[in-house]
Amino acid sequence: MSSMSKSSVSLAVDIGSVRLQNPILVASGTFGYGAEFADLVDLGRLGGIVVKGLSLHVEVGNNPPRIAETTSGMLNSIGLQNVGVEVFLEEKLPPLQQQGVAVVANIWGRSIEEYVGVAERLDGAEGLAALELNISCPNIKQGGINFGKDPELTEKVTSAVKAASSLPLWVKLSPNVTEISELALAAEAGGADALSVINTLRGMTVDVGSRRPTLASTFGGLSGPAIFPVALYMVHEVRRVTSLPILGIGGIDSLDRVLQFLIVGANAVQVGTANFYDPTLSARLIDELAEWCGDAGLTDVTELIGTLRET
Amino acid sequence: MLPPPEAGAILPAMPIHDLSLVLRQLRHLSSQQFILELEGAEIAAECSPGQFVMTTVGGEGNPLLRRPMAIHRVLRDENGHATGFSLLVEVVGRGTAMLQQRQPGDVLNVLGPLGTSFRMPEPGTPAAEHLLVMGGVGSAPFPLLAEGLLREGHSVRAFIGARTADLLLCLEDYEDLGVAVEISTDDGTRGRHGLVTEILEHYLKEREEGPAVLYACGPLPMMRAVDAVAKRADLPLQVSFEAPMACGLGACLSCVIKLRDGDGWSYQRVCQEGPVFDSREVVWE
Ligand SMILES: Cc1cc2nc3c(=O)[nH]c(=O)nc-3n(C[C@H](O)[C@H](O)[C@H](O)COP(=O)(O)OP(=O)(O)OC[C@H]3O[C@@H](n4cnc5c(N)ncnc54)[C@H](O)[C@@H]3O)c2cc1C
Ligand SMILES: Cc1cc2nc3c(=O)[nH]c(=O)nc-3n(C[C@H](O)[C@H](O)[C@H](O)COP(=O)(O)O)c2cc1C
Ligand code: FES
Repeated sequence: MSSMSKSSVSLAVDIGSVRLQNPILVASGTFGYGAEFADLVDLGRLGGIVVKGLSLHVEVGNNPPRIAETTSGMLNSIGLQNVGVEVFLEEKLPPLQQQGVAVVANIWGRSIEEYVGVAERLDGAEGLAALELNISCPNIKQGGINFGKDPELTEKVTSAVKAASSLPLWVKLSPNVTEISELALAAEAGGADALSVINTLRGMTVDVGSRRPTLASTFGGLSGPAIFPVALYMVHEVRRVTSLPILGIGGIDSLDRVLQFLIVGANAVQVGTANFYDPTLSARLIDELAEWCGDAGLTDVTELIGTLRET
Repeated sequence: MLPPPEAGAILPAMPIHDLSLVLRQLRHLSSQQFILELEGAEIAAECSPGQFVMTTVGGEGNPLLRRPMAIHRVLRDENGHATGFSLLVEVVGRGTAMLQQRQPGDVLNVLGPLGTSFRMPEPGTPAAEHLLVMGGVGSAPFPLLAEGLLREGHSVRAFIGARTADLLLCLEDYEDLGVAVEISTDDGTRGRHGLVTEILEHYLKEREEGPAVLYACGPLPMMRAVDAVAKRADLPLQVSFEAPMACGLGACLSCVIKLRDGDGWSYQRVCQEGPVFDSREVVWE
């Protein structure tokens, strides 16, 4: 039996200057703009909502088919379709503000100028807790090289956005690199306030009958339970080199996965693909986490963070 | 009673439920087709014709994603209260094959009702003939639509196409409801030898003048052909689309098709702006 009631456990965590009521957030691109889940999840209870990636202008996205199911996961190549920053501010943000939930704006661009443009437009918007920078995007001004693969570009885009906005800046790292710790240090040098680890892993599948790629854009990003061990390892690697707050992302499908992320040093987590097939999971995890902490004799969830023991 | 969908409404404001539902019965119609009868009074009482659910297929997270399925019939007790609903399923791959193996008493996680419904005629509009055109498992949403239209006093006729006589779907439903049916099979084993659009065109030529409304669901080439027929006959057509879906809630943007938008087009979500669309708004390519 639990020795402490779950209400006496404090779940609040600090991501730099941002206090979250609990460490369970929902990941960009997997929860729309929040309203899509309002019938199913009490949005006001979440640790935070990271909205679908925003760009300066409306983005039409890639041709379908855009998803393919894989073993314990899925590939997606949505192509960052989104309503654009203006429509977000006018139509999507106001209803979210009323829910009293921490809203994090995930942003992306095809050049540093575009990133800065979105960040400037969002600066001072009421009800935004932070910006999250998706750097898994090709830079069209530099031969299409991915911002997130190059430490120099990562640092540059981070510092440019940091200078353009007064909001706390979370940089979301791409796992499609050789040493993620180098990219983590580059983001830190650029002024990141926190690191989101990880985005999707590159992958593809082929339809044998037609011998064509299953996705119209040939490759996509792998997400879901299949990527959890990779994501956990990368959080571990990043934690070894920096004391910045970390948001652990990748393959969360149960409380056990949340606990593993916190133990290796994530200060909070984001639930992604699981929102699609288990849309009430995020809210349930908050209760389960409180109960687990109570049963484990913890009064504060932060007592668990970064407690990995050496083998 | 099933509340009739608001006239002219395409976006029902009914809340979405995520429920663990007990499978009451599984009836095999052929080696590849079956009907699942599920509990779930909330979804049954609040759904409108054309809406769908996202359901697990069993297997504890493997496969990962739920499968979209149209709501086929609302099941009622002797007092007419909605107590559950049925799905009409064809086996095409792993998930539907797993569904076929379910047993009464099994529990499925079901999200719904989802998406837009068929637009019902405004009350007071002159009586029209409502022609439902279906191919293969595209038949699934039509018995519920026929029921709704009949309740409002409209006349309904079903055009059913299948590869072969054994695979013709929903004949019992239409007999129950007293809906006239026209049949075509690809191999000529029943009804007209040929495509469902041929029996539709034939009927449109022979019928007396008067307003008619078309509805279609089935394989894409069939719906495209019905769209061409509707344009030639200058009749309105509503089409119900399929697309791969991860969430069914409008969040993942995986399920898009091209719809006309101003002078151009934009990608719209089949799970949210659809599955039912006005055929004139679809970019048929
Ligand atoms: C709104 C809507 C209503 C539907 N209603 C019915 C119905 O009433 N009865 C019925 O039998 N089928 C219906 N379908 C199609 C049904 O969802 C697919 O046949 C089913 O998902 C196939 O799963 P599988 O694992 O057997 O096939 P696989 O090919 O193994 O599936 C692989 C992946 O592709 C997806 N997929 C494959 N074919 C389709 C398809 N045609 N449409 C959407 N996703 C697909 C699957 O969901 C899965 O994620 C509907 C689809 C939609 C979008
Ligand atoms: C359909 C889909 C869309 C996504 N869109 C975005 C996006 O717009 N911006 C972003 O930074 N990450 C995006 N992601 C990545 C997720 O936020 C998350 O980092 C990744 O899916 C790993 O977590 P998961 O395994 O829990 O899904 C998307 C993921 C999916 C599956
Ligand atoms: S299935 Fe996710 S947006 Fe339509």
